[in-house]
Amino acid sequence: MKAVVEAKDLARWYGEVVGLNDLSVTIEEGITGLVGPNGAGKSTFMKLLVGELRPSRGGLRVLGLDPFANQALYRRLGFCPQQDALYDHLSGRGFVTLCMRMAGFPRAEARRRAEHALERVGLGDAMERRCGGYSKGMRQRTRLAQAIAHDPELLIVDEPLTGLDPLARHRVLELFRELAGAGTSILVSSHVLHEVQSLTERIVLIHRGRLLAQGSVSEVRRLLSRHPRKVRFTVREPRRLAGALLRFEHVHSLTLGEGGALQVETADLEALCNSLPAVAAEVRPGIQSLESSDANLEAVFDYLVG
Amino acid sequence: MKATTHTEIYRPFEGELRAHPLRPLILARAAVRLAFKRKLPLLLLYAPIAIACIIVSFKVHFAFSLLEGEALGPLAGTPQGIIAAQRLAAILGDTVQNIFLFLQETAKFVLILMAWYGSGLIAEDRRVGANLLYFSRPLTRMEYLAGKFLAASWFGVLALILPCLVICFVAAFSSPDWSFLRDEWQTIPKVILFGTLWVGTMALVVLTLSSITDRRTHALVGSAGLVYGANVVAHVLARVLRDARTTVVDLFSNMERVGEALFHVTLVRDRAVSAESSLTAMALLWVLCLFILTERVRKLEVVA
Amino acid sequence: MPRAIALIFTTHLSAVLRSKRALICLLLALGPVIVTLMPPPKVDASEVVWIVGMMFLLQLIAPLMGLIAGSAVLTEEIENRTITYAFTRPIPRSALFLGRYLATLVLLSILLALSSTAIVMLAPLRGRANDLAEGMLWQLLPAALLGGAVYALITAALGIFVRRPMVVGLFYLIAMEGFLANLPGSTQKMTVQYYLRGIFTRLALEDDSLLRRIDVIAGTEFKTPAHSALYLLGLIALAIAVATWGIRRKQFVLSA
Repeated sequence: MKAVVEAKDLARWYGEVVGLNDLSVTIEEGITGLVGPNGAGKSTFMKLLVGELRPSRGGLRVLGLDPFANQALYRRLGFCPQQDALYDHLSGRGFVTLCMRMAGFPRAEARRRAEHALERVGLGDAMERRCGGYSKGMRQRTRLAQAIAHDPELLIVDEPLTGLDPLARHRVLELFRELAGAGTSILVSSHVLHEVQSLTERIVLIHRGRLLAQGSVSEVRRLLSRHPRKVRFTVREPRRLAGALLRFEHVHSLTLGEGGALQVETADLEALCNSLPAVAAEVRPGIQSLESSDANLEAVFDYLVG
Repeated sequence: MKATTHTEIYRPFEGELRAHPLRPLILARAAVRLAFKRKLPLLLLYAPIAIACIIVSFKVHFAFSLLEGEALGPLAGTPQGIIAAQRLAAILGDTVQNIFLFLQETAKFVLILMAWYGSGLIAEDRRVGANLLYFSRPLTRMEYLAGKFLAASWFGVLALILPCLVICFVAAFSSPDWSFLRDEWQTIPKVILFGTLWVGTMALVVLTLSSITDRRTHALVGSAGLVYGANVVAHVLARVLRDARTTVVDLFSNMERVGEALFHVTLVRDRAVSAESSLTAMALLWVLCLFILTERVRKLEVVA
Repeated sequence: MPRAIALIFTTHLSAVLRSKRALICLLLALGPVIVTLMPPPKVDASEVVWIVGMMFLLQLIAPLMGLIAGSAVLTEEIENRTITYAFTRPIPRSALFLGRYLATLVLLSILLALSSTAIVMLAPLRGRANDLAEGMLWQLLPAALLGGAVYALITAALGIFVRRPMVVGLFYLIAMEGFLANLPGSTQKMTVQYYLRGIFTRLALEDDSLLRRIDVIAGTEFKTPAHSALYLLGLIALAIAVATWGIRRKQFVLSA
């Protein structure tokens, strides 16, 4: 597979704040998820990729080109930024048409492409309305439309699902799959692992400006499965439930708290979840609620960085 | 990077909630501390005033030393020495006049300083929605305004009143037999009164502009533009109308006239506008500013 | 490049003309017109044009309008965080600056032209002695237009290099154009005001009595209007060159 992004010892700092630190990564064609908690350096990496910023150190090639203010690259690149910014005085169609005119298309072609892109993101009915009157989700989709309207080879999307309702999320994910099917490489950033997982197997994990892991989601998951997970129950009879759970090997520890609280530390969350119905039916502890507080990405990072 | 809030167990509050009696003061202190965190503007804005204060203090001290004959060396006590000392002291100027001139000149600079620090006080709150936090606390509209006013004024007090008091302090210690305190003690309350008048007026103007816009820069430019613009307009009008009464719209001229009357100093002879008219014009400005401020802050609360 | 500039210009022109800043500039432009109508009939028309034009329009209104409109050229894109869309397209970065500056220039030119014309037209009203020198409009108009263009460009170019061009521009206006321009001596030549006055004083150079009516410039030797205009045009060219160089190299760090 051809590499679309090649970064070597890439570093970028803002004064004393380190945005990215010695990042060496090669991203190949297809869909790749760039994941990391807030402040990990994802947006900095994306800004370097689209040439908004220059690296403080190291080298970066996007589609084989140096990205900073490179007009040749911008013909082949689509970027959907994270910030909620549009030209509010323009209509959705006017805005995407302007972007296409700036991309070098003649007026009629730019308009045709804008309309088509807006249809694809589900804004066909609203394209005549001013962007200033759009909802957050509509604005997000308009930003996406301007990024895909010129059929880029590489699409870079920063947190594309933030602010979208489930239906719009589904639609956007479908669109990404469609684009990938048509040969567009997509680099999508998110801090929600399962969102990225529903789109691609390949992820790049960044944390505190450094590359933490790169590979398929299943590999990272396997890594995760060795990490003990905490599940907190609120139960009417916590001692009864604790006694029943003690017989499982994957349960490492049990902590009884006030008000029927019971915290279970398990090496296999899936096995625990599978065995729960049987346990509940057997000892009838009166489970009122359960939550796994560390199932999110930050907990993964917490584990991975020790 | 621990997600601590998910696992934290909160203890119920068992104490007694009591309203702090000086809520505006808390608000003002927070604003001042935040503003003074950035050291470069602090240095650039306060350093010129500090330098000017040192120079004037030295001038005052030197004038008194001359009159006492201390700085004359071998000429001390001789008739030539006395004449030289009197002439030099005359050149250095009357202490009260020096203090007044320092007040006048510093006041023009204090406008920029207060605009810099005060322009964001309400505008930034509006922009980031901090007023939602304030008004969800037991804080009334007037307390909010008072807090912001105190903060804006404090920047001016440090730049205008405090240096003048330092000069008065130097004068008191330098004067022979505490003559400054005995003969000119009224200068100290006058400095405080004049300084408070100027600082209060500027704080009101800056806060009003800050309440109108949601960008700090716009409030800053608006405040400076309004005061300096009014100064230019007043003088253009005075020229084309051939009538100096138009300077009643100029804040600088008004303060100059009020200062002259207060300190019994004459900078310009044959004033076309009296100090009373100047005070009336300024009172109108305060009323207008207070009206706009209360209206704008009331709307903030409604929106919140 | 010209196509990209034209595209940015046409897109932003209507937005600039309908912006709040345009309204503020309009109100500012009305100021000198109102002042022109105020003097009593005993004042000569030429004196009214002279004082209002020199002390009000050129020294206060044109710089302020330039500051207000010019600071929006790039800063608005940065503050609204829309600069990304232009900077990730295959157009020269400087096209965004120049296109938006031209749109601003149209606004300023319209308002300053109307204001200058109104001052000259209205000055002889109310029974004032009409001793207006022929071609007074043709001194005031180019001076006002060039003033607006230069001040807007300076502020706009500042937007590339500093985060708050309006604040820095204000300090520049107060310290340089307000203070230094009115000091006697050759330091005046460091200011834009000096050259604007050079354009506006063509007839005054012939009639010394006019010059003496404004004490701040009495005794100052001005360049010829052509020389002054040439200097200002040179300044515009230099500022554009610096701005295009700066914008090509500049990294704009936007907060999310």
